[in-house]
Amino acid sequence: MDYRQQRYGRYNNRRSMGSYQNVSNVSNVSSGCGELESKLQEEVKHEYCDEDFADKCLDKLPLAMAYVPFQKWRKVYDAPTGLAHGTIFEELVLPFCGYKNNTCGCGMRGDRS
Amino acid sequence: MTRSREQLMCCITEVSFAIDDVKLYLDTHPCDKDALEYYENYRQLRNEAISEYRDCYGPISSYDVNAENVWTWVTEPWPWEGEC
Amino acid sequence: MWSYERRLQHPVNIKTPNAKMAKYIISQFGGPDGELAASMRYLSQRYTMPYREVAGVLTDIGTEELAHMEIVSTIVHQLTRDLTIEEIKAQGFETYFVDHTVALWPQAASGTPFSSTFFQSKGDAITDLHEDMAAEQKARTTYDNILRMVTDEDVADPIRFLRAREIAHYQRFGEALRIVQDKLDSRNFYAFNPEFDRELKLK
Repeated sequence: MDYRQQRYGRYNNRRSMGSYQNVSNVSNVSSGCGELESKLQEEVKHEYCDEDFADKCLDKLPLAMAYVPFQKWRKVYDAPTGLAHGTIFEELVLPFCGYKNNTCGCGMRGDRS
Repeated sequence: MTRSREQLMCCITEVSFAIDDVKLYLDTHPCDKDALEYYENYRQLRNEAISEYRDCYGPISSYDVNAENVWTWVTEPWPWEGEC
Repeated sequence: MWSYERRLQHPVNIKTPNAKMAKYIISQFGGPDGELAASMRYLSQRYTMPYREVAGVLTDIGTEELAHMEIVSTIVHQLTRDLTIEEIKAQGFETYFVDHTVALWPQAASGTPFSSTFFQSKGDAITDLHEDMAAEQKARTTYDNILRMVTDEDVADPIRFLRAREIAHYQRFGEALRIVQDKLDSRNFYAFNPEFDRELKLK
């Protein structure tokens, strides 16, 4: 899968159900970086501004600073499953797939609904 | 029925890890009720498992050694020895 | 004050010794992006952190990194403890062996000894948290590289666990940075250093 497709699929399903349905064919987005970035910003605006975080839209945040989204309490594993994954938070399970001896069965976030 | 040494240690490892991860979440979300409840649940399970392990198999902490006959803190295997 | 618990945060049971693997895995013990460096970084930064939630994050993650150092050391130990001298020579372990036999000594895979120069404790909340976020990513990449080379599942299993922890830690440091941002004036986050300019912080 094209890396950019991967990123969008992953980003979409991590955020919310179906908020990204209107970007149907990501492979059409090949005309350059400008178009990709504005689609990402639109996605974030749609996501954050629909909730109470109206002032947290990426392009409204102060410049020259880094922002990591606050995690919410959801999709929490029980203890045995948590230990097996290395975290109790399903949303933080981001395995490395770039190696041949991989037996972990990579599940990208995009695979989860 | 008493759990085996391996079963108990496995349980302690699992519940302690759940506490390790939720503890970090609580550091940045100190008022999250769901997280506080998750923590409290596993805190109790952990205390029970550790007491049982200490009574049946040996100490986990040097602050809690059954010191009646022998200082078992130094007579039991260390964790880096592994099972092999 | 630290307590020690007689257990590993994640089990390590390696059946087959392998000095070749030990030679590069040791970087996560004493190397620049390893667990000892991470622990010392966070535990050093916490004293002057003016926000208690952030000091909590630094203390708790700094402590967890010591447990990770123990796991990495255990992996290296179990990979090297039963080697014969012929195996040591055949697997290119002689240069470490001559100085340390099969003991654990904090160094990088290159042989560079552990040093405080591997980390910074800058005394500025924003700067230190960026350092910490970068440290977690560097550690994750190092584990990615280890996973590319490891062929033994007994070794890959705890390595994958340690890698997963780096991602969780990154998220927490990112949230800690957001907490610091909330306590500063967003018109200029860099107007003063909240760890040092106390009069300005109280305004």
